[in-house]
Amino acid sequence: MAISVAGLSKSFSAPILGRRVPVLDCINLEVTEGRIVALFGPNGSGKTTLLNVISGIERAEAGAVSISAEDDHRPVLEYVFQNFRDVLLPWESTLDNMGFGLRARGATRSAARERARCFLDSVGLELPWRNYPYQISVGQQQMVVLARALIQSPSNILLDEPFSALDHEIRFRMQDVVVSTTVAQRLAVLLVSHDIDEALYLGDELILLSKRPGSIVRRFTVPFPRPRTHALLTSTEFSALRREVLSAFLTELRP
Amino acid sequence: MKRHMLIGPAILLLCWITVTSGGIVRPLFLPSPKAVGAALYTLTWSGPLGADVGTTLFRTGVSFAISAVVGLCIGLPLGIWKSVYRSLEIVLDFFRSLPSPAIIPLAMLVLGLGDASRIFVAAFTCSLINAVQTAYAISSIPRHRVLAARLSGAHRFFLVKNVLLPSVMPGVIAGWRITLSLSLIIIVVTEMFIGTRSGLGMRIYDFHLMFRSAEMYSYIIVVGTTGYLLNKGIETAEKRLVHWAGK
Repeated sequence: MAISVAGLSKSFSAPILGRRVPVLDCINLEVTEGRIVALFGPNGSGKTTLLNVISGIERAEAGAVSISAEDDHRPVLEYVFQNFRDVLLPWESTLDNMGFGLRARGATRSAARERARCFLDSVGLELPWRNYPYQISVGQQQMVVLARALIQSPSNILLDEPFSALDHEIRFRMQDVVVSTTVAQRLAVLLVSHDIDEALYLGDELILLSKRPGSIVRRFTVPFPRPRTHALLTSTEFSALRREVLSAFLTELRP
Repeated sequence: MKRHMLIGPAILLLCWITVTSGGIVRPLFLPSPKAVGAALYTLTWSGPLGADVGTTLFRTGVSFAISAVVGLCIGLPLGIWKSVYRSLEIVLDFFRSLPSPAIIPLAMLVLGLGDASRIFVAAFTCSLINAVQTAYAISSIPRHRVLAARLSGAHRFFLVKNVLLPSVMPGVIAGWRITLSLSLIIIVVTEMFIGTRSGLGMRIYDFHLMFRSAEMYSYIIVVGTTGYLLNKGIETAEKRLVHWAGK
């Protein structure tokens, strides 16, 4: 099992209220190699907190998290933050930002650049790679951060709304890059998305979280075989599943 | 330099000429530009101006260099450990609020009338400003930048060299921009009060005592120009060294 979460609960201290506010309530989930699990839920349901706990940035009061890797040579975990603009290093070029993780793990600057260029070529993306992050668009910045994570070929990856700033064309392209990398490199992906179409198109499983404190309301298995194309989004099977997820979501939102 | 940048100085000069040639102000209070120009020429070619500029710049440079190093050494622990900052906050704010001329007599008493006193007063005040700027720069590094770098495998030396130091440099250099000008200001003030035989401040005060207004104005112009050029110099360096500042 690549990512495994068992009985995880977490609360935040709220000095103004004089008590602790529960955020996550008994979360159980598993992501195996080569699969994408999408987390879907309303704002404040603790999706980002869950990723923070899994990555070790935050601690939970109860429960266990385990992350494993089949291949010792690959980084165990990468995390693409929702707050991608803060992640970029403004003094490094776009290309060097993409290669940052490789350099941090011992690669030379030129080797990291070479890998970054190969990555861009292989996915057919055009980025102004000589420019600094403040000289490129917000969408391009998000692509750089996603590329920085994928380039390192991690065993497991946490993606927090990784396509939110991309236009439809680039978004579709990057979604396919994530899927093909997941399959080719047997990546375990835990994806947070606010976009129901995206969650269903990418996911092998969709987990619907409740309002705060977030608990798992329902799990949907996404039955569409891979490789998928974006034409799937217009199919009747997709629409039926989408309706089912949406009605469960709306029921959850009801006061 | 663009042409329209000269409009301001031209207006100032025009006002000066008008006021002095019309006899509105006595030459003792404001000599004519011509008289000041002549004094400036004499002081430069057959007077002490060059040596004075050199002396004041040397004192300013040493004070600034000390304050930059000391500021970093104090500022780093202040920025890294919140508890250190909180423990020293009152002391720091007290000394930062203390006008530097107030410690001139103390410096003279302890360090004597030489350059050590002057440099101490300027370096002391500027060190505190640099320290606070450094601490602030550290505490405002985006949290996710460091978290993401660590998750990507950046540790210790690599993290410090490639993430932390470049992140704090814009804040540190912004502090240097303030303290380089301030070092000059304090050094000029101390030259007026702490016995010395050379320096721009000392000379301004001397000419004032001798009622030699044209020479006094010449030195004021030189001090102003020196301050302006130092500021421009560090601004240029800032643009090159930390081109990403504020972006």
